[in-house]
Amino acid sequence: MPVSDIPFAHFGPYSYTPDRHYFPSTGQPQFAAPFSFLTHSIPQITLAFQQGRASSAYNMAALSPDEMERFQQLSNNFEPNVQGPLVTPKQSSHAIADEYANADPTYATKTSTLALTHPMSRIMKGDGNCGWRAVAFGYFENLFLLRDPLRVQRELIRLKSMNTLLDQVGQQEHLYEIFVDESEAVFNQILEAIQKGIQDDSFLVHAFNEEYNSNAIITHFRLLTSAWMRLNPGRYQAFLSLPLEQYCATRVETVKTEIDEVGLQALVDGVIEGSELAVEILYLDRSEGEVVTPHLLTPNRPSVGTIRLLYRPGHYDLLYRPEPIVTMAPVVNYQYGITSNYSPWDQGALSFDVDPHLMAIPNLMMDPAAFAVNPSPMSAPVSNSYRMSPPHDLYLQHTPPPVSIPSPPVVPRMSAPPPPMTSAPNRSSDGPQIRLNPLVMKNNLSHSLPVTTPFKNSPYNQAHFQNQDFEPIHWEPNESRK
Amino acid sequence: MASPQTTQRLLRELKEYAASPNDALLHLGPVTDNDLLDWEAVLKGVKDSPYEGGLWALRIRIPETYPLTPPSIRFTTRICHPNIHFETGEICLTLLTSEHWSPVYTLSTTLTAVQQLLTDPRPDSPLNLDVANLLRNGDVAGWESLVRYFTMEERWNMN
Repeated sequence: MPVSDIPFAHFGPYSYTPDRHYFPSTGQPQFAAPFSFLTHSIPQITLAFQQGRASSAYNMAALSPDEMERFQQLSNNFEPNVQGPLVTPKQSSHAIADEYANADPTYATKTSTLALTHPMSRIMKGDGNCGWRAVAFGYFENLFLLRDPLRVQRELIRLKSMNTLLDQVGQQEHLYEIFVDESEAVFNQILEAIQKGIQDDSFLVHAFNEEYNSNAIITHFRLLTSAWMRLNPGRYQAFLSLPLEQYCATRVETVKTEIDEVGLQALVDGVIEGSELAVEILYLDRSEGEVVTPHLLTPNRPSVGTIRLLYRPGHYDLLYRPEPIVTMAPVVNYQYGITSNYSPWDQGALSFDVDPHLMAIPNLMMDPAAFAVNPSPMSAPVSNSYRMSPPHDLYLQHTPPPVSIPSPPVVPRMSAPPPPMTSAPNRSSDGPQIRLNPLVMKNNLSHSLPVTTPFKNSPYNQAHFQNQDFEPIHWEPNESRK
Repeated sequence: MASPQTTQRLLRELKEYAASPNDALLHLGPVTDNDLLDWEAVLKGVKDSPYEGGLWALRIRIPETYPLTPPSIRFTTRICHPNIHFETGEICLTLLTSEHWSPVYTLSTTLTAVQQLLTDPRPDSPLNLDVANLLRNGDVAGWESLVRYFTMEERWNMN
């Protein structure tokens, strides 16, 4: 319809006026453009120097306005050339270790340990959506692996019912429906695959490698996250450097903006948590220690599966723990065993922090391949009692003790994050000979019960008896109750 | 050929625009009935601004992956503005970049954003250096008269 054919004037309210904050292209720190100009245009500037255009000095003022404009253009249009599929098939985590073999020793150590604890990984394309894609893919993949058609249907209904959140924050159905439809299509694919008994997840990988489908699903998750944040501003505003509304519009609802910690937490809180899946991040950074630092984003409660994210600065991938071997059953949760003296189990009654990581450690023993010869448990080196063990000591042998205590309600938590190594014990202490390996196994305790630092003061820690300075606490009648 | 989702979305937008037109626009719609990915619009100048009374035609190319990628919009009527190229009509607007585009923007709301750009010029990222320099040097009167001149001189008309 040519312009000339239309009536000359339209009057009426327009329903939605975007906030003017979003429009300017540069000059404000929250936008990527100034940064991209600094980082990405350097090669072009260098090139210009080499071509003799501005050979005088490394000085922006030496550039003519035309050249500045050209560089700005180049910078604005710059898109990093990222190779590879959006989501790879599962592959060995040794590939990650190889990447860092010649890097900083901390990285080299952590990645080689990672290849043992999490032998498989899935690499996300670093196109600005990796974090969103990793969570969305992990979500659907876990649903597929659980092979429970009812659960899949329940999740589909749950996600679709969240349309009301979108409506509440003023999103219009005719704008978001196509994204919800894409998610629904994946749910249906999963249902079909489960019903047909398909084990292979390649259909899911394929679905997430179709650029449009993949991005549409991510957009659906982004919009839900944004709506969740807008409806729960109190939980997130304090962590944001800009107004929440603006954050949602410029960082969450966009198509290619990296997820950050706040956005990730909101995505997990708003979209994933209702699925009973846990989400855990393993931080690969240069912090002290020999293992990646884990962090659980979901509350510490029984979950049906875990989405494990590997975080490297600016990038997210997916990680997988070793496949559980069924013949290892029965799985005994030592943690429940050791603490069953508390009766009833009451977290509030414990004097130490009930660390979610701590509770999960026993399942480490589900990997028989990792069983190593147990170094003599009572002969831990004295001089360096807090020495970090090398990675090959990661798994000590754990022969299940004759268990008289009935197994606790089986909590098939596969999550087994070691506690953060930053909370290293006090090295000046000449206390019990605790030999901390990266998974904080204490091997001088009978049956090598896994403990973490909070346990060292536990009255149940028999290691106290080996300490020559050991003194039981005496109750003084005069001392007032604390 | 656009994907069914893109077609569906564009048809919904068209319907939505017919039901609740945009004050900032005189017209918005596909150029021909044959190509749903090629739209045109006529933008109105903001009242009480140097652009008041102006009318500009814009051409909108919609990518096949819309709304997951932004439309490309340019002025076909010449306009005097620091962030709009005088000859090519190219617009420097953050939300039109793939990084900052959001699929919940529609063509109509995006054009509202273009209209707001008129009254919120950013001389720091100019596409029209001459106009930007006037603003940077604080010559508001000079800028305004130049804008008023071109707004009337180049005003789009129905032929």
